[in-house]
Amino acid sequence: MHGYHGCYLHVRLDDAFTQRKPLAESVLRRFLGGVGLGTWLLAQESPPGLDPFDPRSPLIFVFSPLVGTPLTTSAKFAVVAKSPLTSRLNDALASSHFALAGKRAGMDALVVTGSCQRPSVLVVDDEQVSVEPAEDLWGLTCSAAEAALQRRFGPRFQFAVIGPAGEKLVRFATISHGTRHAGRGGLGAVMGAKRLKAIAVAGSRRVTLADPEGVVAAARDLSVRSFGPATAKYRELGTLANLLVFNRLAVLPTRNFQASTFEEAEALSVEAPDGSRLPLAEAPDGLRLPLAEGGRVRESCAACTIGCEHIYPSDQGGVRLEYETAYALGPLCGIGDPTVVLGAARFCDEHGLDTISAGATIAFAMECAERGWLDAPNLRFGSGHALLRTLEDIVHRRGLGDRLAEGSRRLAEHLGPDALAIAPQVKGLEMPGYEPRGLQTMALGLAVASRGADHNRSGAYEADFSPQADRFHGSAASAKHAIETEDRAALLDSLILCKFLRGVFADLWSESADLLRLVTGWDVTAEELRTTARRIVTAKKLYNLREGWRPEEDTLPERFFSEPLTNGASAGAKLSRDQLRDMIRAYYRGRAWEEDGGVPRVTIVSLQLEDFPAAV
Amino acid sequence: MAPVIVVEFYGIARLRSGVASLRVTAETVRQALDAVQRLCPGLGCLLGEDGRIHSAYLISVNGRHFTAELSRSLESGDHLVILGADAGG
Repeated sequence: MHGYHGCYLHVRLDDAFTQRKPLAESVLRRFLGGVGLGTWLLAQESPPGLDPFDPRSPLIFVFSPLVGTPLTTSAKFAVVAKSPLTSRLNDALASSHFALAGKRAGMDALVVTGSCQRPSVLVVDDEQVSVEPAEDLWGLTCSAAEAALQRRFGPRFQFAVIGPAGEKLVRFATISHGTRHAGRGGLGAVMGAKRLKAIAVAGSRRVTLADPEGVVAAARDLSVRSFGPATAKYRELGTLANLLVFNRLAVLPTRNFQASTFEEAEALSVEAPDGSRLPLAEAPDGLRLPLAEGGRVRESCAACTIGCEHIYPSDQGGVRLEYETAYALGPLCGIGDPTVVLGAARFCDEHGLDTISAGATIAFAMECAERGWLDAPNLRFGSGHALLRTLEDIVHRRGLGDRLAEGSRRLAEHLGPDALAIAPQVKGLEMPGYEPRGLQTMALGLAVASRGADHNRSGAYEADFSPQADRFHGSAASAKHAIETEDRAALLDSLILCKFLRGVFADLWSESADLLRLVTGWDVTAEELRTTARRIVTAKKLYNLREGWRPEEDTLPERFFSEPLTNGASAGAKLSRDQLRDMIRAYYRGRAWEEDGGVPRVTIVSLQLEDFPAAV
Repeated sequence: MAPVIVVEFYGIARLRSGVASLRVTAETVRQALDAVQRLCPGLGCLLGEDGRIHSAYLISVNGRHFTAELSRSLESGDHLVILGADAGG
C-alpha cells in the first residue's frame, strides 16, 4: 500500500499497553485520513454514551496519505474526540512538523485511551512507546512546555501540548503545536482529563509513493499556483482582512450579536485607510503597522508556500492574529483597543484557550451582566480590563471564571431560558464571526454542522459572498450551496490539504483525485471522491445519532429569529424559524437523510457505510 | 450628467489600488469599473478575458447584494464595493 503505513497505534495510558492495529485498505480508501479516518476510528474505538472525560474516551491524532509528500500545505493533522463542550463528534486540525514527525513514527493515527495517575508525556519514537512523568511541566504555558520538552528530548521530536486551560478541564481548551492550535471543541480538556501534558513523536519511517516523480511534478505545479491571486489575501494580509469587509457588509457580530457593525473596526483593521505601506519606524501603535514592508513577520507551516500567518508585535512578543480571534476578542466584546485584543489573543494562545469560544462566552456573560442576570458589575462591553481579567479567571477557574470555563450553553442553562435565547452557540459550540441574519446560506451551514457552529466544516458563506445567492433571503435553494461547501471541506480535511488552497483548484474534485492517484496508486476518480466526502459527512451524523443527537439541535439561538438587524448594509435583515426549517429540510433531502435528520438504511448502503461502527 | 459613484476598496483591492475609496462618474457597473481601471492601474484587470468580472474580485452595489451584472445601472450616490473574491476564512 502506498501513502499509508496501514496501521494505527493504540496506547492505553492506564497500563502503558500499546498495540499497532492494522487499517484495512477498504477503510482507508473510504475515509482517506484526517477527519474522515478519525471519524471512523472514534466510532470504532469508543463505546457509545461515554462522557468525554471518561478515561475510556479516545483522543485520536490522525495523519493522512498526503502528509510527508512535497505537496504544499499537506503537513497537517486532525485531532478527533467526543467534545466536552457539545457531547458530539469534534474534529480540529493543526499544522506543521508534528504531522510530519508523527507519520514518520510509522502510524496513520494514534489512538489514546485511559488516563495517567500523574501528569505525563506520551513518547512515541518509532517502535518505542513510553509514558514518562511530566509533573515539572504541569502548569506551564504551551510555549514554555514545548521549550522544556525540546530541551529534554532534543530536536528529533515534535510535540503536541496542552496549556493550563487543558489541565483545568476548561471545556474549550486547545491542543497546541508550535503556537498553532487544534482549537475548537475542547480537545485540550480531553487530553487534560487523561493527565497528559504532551505527546512527543519522532520517527524515521517513510511511506512509499505510487508515482514519486509524478508527485514531485504535481507539487511543483501546485506550489506555483499557490502564489496566484486565489491566495493573495492570506499571503499579503492574512484573514484579519475580513474584518473591514464584514463590517462594511454589516455582518461583523458585535456585542454578542446585538449589532452587526462595530464603530471601532478601523482601529483593529490590517489595512491602512490610504492603502499605503507604512515603514515600521513611522507606524502608529496598533495593528496597522504590520502592513509595513519588513515591519511584520510572516510565518508558514512546514511544507506550505502560502504563509498566511501574520505575526503582530506586542509588548509581550509576537502574536498571531486571525480574523476569528480578532472578532471574538474585539467587536464581540465591544473592544476596539488593539493592544487589548493582542494581549488577549496572546493569553489564549499561551494558556491553550480557543479564542472564539473564550471571546463568545465572555461576550455572552457581558450581556447577561448588563441585563442584570449575572452579578458581575465590572463585566461590561468595551472593558479591556474585564476581558483580560476574565480570561485569567477562566483558566484558573476562579469565581465566575469557573462557570464560564464550562462554555456559554452551560452558563445559559444555569441562568434560564431568556439567557439561552441569546447564548451565541449551536450544539454548545460558540459561533464564529459570521452574522447569520445577513449571511443566510451560512445560517444553514451553522445550524446543521456536525460539531456545532462552525465556519471550517461549512463554507456556506461563500455563496452569500457571491452573486449566486441572496444573502438576505435564505431558502431551500441554499441547501445545495451548504452541501457543496461542506463536502469540499470534508475532502480537504481528510486528504489533508489546507482550505486556503481551495481557490487554487480549477476543479477540486478531479485535481484531488489526480493527487491521490499519484500518492496511493488507486484508480480514484472525482466522482468517487464526491461520494467519499458525502460518506464522511454522513458518518459524522451517524456518530452523533449514536451519541444522542436530536433534531432540535440543528437550529440557531432564538435571538436570530426574533431580532432583525438594524444597522449598516444589512439593516432590516431577518431570519424566521420557518425559513430556517425549510432550508434544513432541503439540506436533509439533499443528503438523502430522513425528514427528521435520521439516516435511512438505503443511504447507509449507498454510501458503503454498512460496517461503519455507529451504523451497525 | 452622469451619476457620481463612490467606489470603495477592501482587502487586496485596497492594497492594489492604494486608496480606500474614490469617486467616478458612471452610469453602469461596467463604466465604473473602466474608470477605476484607468485611475488605479495597480489593481490589474478587473474584467477577465471572458469579459466578466475577474474571478479575483467581488463587486457589490451599496454593500448589500453582490452582482455580476456589468450592465446594471447606477445612480448618483451609489457605492460600488470592490473586494477580493476570497472573502471569508
